[in-house]
Amino acid sequence: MLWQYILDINLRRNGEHMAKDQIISISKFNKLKRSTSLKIKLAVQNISVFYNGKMAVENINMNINQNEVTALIGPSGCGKSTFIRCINRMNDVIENCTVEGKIFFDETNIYDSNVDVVKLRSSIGMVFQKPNPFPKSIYENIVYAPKLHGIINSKSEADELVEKSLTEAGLFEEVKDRLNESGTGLSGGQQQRLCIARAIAVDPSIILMDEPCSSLDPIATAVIEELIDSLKKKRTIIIITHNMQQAARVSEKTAFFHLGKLIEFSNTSTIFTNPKEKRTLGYITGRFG
Amino acid sequence: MEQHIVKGFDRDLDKIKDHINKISGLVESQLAYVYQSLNERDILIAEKVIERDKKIDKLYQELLDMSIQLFALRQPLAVDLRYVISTIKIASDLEKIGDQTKNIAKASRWLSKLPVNQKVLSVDNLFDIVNLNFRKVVNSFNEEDLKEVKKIWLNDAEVNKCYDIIFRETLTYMLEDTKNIASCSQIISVAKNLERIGDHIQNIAEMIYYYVTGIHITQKISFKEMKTYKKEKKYKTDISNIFKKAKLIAKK
Repeated sequence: MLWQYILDINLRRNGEHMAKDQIISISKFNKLKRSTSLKIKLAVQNISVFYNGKMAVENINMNINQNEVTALIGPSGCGKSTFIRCINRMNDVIENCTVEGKIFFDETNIYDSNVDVVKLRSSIGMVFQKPNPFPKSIYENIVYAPKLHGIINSKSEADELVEKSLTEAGLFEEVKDRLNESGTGLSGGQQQRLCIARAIAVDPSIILMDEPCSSLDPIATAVIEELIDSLKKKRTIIIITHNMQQAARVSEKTAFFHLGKLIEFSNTSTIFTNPKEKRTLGYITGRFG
Repeated sequence: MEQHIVKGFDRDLDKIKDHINKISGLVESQLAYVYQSLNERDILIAEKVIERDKKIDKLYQELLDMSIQLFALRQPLAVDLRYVISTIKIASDLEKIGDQTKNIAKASRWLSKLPVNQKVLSVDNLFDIVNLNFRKVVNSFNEEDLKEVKKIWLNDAEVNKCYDIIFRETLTYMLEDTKNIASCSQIISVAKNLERIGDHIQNIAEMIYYYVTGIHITQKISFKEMKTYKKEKKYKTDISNIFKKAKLIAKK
């Protein structure tokens, strides 16, 4: 028995239009729906990173889908942070660090010589392990970068942006009466959400997170995880975590790194129930250090 | 498989394995006792089997507690996760085998009360196959022998075949002489319980295959093997034929 579906909407796939009343099977419909809704946001090709000529990350190839959370896991020193810093060219500021390969972000290679790095970093935001709000007011924390980028020009625009960013980061209700107080006076979890609000104020399409919850308590962690889930509706998120359960909870895809190499990159459910590589299995089940 | 960095994790997993072995050891002896009670028409042994089933239930509950604790404290993943889930299912099947054995013991208690000259049909063949499969499946749980597991899974067809033969025989006996109905109906119950035990053994084989490989056993059985298995598994007793025979006997 084959269920037949009549599509009353145009399905667009690789520029092809499906006929308005084309009849297709349900499995084909689901496949099409998936392929139309998932777009590759980042294409990493042969990325290698060297510190003082010593290889830290070796030949990474992976495609990161739009509106998905990709988790990077692996033991300390395996190159996760080095790799994630390549994505918004943060390694440029590190001395003696060279990057080889290409990363295509919406079809432009971010390592092209004519790429504006400041603009790139506004479209690829980053949140760090330790909350690092500027020693300024909550309000100033949010508007600082948009002002610099010329996104806002007036006070009313700034007010609107502060409310919008803090609401998206789930912080507005908690701090709306003390926007002029210092950002460093907030609790750890609130500070981290302030950093996320600061990152999304410039409307990046990708957010990189380097262990965003490692210094937070379980409740603050849950709030951030819920936030990640709502952020992915509009943005693509890449998160480094040492917490397996967290990777399993928040991400759609998981990549396992070991000794600078990408060992396995697959659906999160596959990685945590039946990984194909022995090293992945050893790491996630706690069998090697 | 390599050991965990946290040794306590391995100890907890070993404890679960030991517990499964404890339950299967008990179930195996129950099967042996119930066989003895059937053959020797011994009410006392049957009573003992019925009484000892409570012990299996208790061990099963303990295993459930251990598994829940392991989930809460260790958060197993991948092969460990499959292992713990599978052992819960295996233990549940073992517990059900225990229940079926108890049912056989009850039938045996009933049969033992029959007059000595009353003929009781033998279920030895079926018992032997089930017993052998049970011992094999317990061994392969410890040795993670996938080839053997597959053989055991396919061997369930043999159990069904044997049950079918007993069913046909008992039907004929009952039709021959109504005096046989009392004992034969109990024999059918015994055979049915044994056939169910065969199904549980098959389930255990499935779970062993799943936790070792992460793949369901049915996906790894070839089309040809599956076809012969299904063909053999099907009951061949034709009731209408038996009734025709019965009419002939009645005419004579």
